[in-house]
Amino acid sequence: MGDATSPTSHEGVSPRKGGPAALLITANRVKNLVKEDTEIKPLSGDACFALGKATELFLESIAAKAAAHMQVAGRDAALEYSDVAAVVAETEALDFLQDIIPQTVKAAALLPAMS
Amino acid sequence: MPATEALDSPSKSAEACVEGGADTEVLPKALVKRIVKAGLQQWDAAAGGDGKRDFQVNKDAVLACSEAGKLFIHYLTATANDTCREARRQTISADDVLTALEDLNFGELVEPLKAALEAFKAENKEKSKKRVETSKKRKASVTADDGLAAAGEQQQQQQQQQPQAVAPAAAGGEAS
Repeated sequence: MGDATSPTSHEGVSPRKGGPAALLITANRVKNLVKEDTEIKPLSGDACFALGKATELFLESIAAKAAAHMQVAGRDAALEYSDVAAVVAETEALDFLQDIIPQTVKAAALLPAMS
Repeated sequence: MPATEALDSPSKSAEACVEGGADTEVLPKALVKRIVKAGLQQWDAAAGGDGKRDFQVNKDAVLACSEAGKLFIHYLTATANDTCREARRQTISADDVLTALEDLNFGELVEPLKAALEAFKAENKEKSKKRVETSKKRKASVTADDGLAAAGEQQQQQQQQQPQAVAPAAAGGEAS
């Protein structure tokens, strides 16, 4: 992952600005999200960083897995919802996402069963 | 088995989730898109590509990932919270987060996260070292200006040319 020295850029995509310690999902964002859940104990500074970073890594990993589906579907560089939904369906660890990222089915496929 | 609500366009169900959640966008689409693209470029590079290809990410895919990210944070935090509570500690630590990742079957994220944490802690040590040095210098210059109201550094330099009772303290401070 040698992208540590990509310069800051807003138009293009900078894969990993600033090296591994840089955080896109910043501590403040994490705190705001966690505030919604009143049962949660306070977070240490390191824990805030860890949560934000874990989420970035999580999303990157989903993207990479979804890319495999994208390729199979014959698309070169255009990720679609169905790719993401496929990853969620096939990965046990992602079961908690099944309700919000369901696989969609074309009506045509279901109508024969319904009639 | 796919949910029947899913017969609607995916963006409707995804948007319903977003609206039902926070008022403001806690994980903005632009940010999520950037992270997803970074993941795609890593995948591309690992597969032998140049890692610079510009990927498109469909709007519904971005929304789905945004919701996934939010839910992931809640899920991970709640799990870390449980570990913390069982250990009867008052604050969730980074170690609790690492443990939670393992517990939730995201073990593959543990090593990269540890590496990032090391870099983060190292950076913070650097920053606090610099802060201590800067405040030491500031304290030294304040001592030199003792008796003069709101002195800046220019005044201090002028003082150095005129020997004063307080000068030795300033010289000592400056020498360090």
